[in-house]
Amino acid sequence: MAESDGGHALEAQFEELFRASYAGLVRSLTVAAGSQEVAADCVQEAFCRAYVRWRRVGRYDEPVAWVRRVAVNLLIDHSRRMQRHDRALARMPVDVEPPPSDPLEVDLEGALDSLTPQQRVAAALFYVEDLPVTEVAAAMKLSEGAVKYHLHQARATLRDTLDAHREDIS
Amino acid sequence: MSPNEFDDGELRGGLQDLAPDVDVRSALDALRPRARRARTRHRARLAAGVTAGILLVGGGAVALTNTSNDKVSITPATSPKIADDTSTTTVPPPTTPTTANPDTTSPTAAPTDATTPDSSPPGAPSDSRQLPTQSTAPTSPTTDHGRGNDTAPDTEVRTYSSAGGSIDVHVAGGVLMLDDVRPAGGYDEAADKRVERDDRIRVEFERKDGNHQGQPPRVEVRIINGELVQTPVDPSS
Repeated sequence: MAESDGGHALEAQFEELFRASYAGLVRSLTVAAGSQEVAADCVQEAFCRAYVRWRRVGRYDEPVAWVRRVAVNLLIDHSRRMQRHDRALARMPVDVEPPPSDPLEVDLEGALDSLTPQQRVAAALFYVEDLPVTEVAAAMKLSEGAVKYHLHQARATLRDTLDAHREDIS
Repeated sequence: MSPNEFDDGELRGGLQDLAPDVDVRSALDALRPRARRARTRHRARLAAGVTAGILLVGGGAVALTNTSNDKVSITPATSPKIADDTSTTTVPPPTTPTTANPDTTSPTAAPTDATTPDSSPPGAPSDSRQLPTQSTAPTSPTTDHGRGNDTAPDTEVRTYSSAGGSIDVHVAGGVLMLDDVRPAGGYDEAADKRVERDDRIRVEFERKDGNHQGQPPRVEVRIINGELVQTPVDPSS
């Protein structure tokens, strides 16, 4: 009975973490992935893995950091697979009309597509989830210097897009 | 977080606008069955791993046991050939002539055939199986030719003769028995030359005056293929 109570307590603890962090993770990883469906799938898979190991993960100081790290890994792996897929599609002689863009709307999504997966993830975690560089580095299993490099590259590309849009408007 | 070179409010706002609203409640409802399935699979993998480990350890133990059994079974693998030889030697030959003719038992008969009967106590088959491990087995066919599979039905007394005399033998219970020795005139039975076994009897004669020209006369009778046969005597045997 005590064990059952302990199990319920663990489940409650897990669900509390899920309610507190799921939305933020999905929002940031949606920006990183360019797809809410992909981001939600990665985050849910990360939570499933945490649930299976919750007796251990739940004792961490920041269980959400573990979940985020797993989700980021899944997302980067997915992005790399999709990049190979996209390159293979690009070699096929198919004429694909790009969707028309609104000249009054900044095309940040198009600019994000020109970033590498690591640049996108770094930018999403830093700008969307408001994580400090140290936590971004921990989530991406990179050094802070490497994260800063990716952030610098991402910001330069995205900044160019924003500046070009501002010039177009003016 | 202190302001740094990456702080960019416009960029932050633009990216956060791209982030969608998320329904946490429905996501949690969708997660519960998925998480339970994941936990079930995880436990199944753990159980499979533990089972595989147990099977591996158990299989290793069985393999070790079989290895040691193989070592034991080597002895039976070589024993049948020897068991046939010893099967007929489990009946100790010296006992029969001793009871039949206690006075004529030759002390020299035992050493010629000593390897088998002396080392195999009667009524101890386990010991007789161990005999083949000794190096005496190859000598048995040369010294005990034809005796291994030869058994003869009981016979009446028969007489076999040579220049030095004659002997009377008969078969009783598959054992060749010496009934009488009759030296010819001028001959006596040679002392310490008689051989009496279950399937072979040999008696050597010598002249009373000791003057022999060539080989002394002998009479040897064997059971060969169930028949009593007088065989030529090998002087060297």
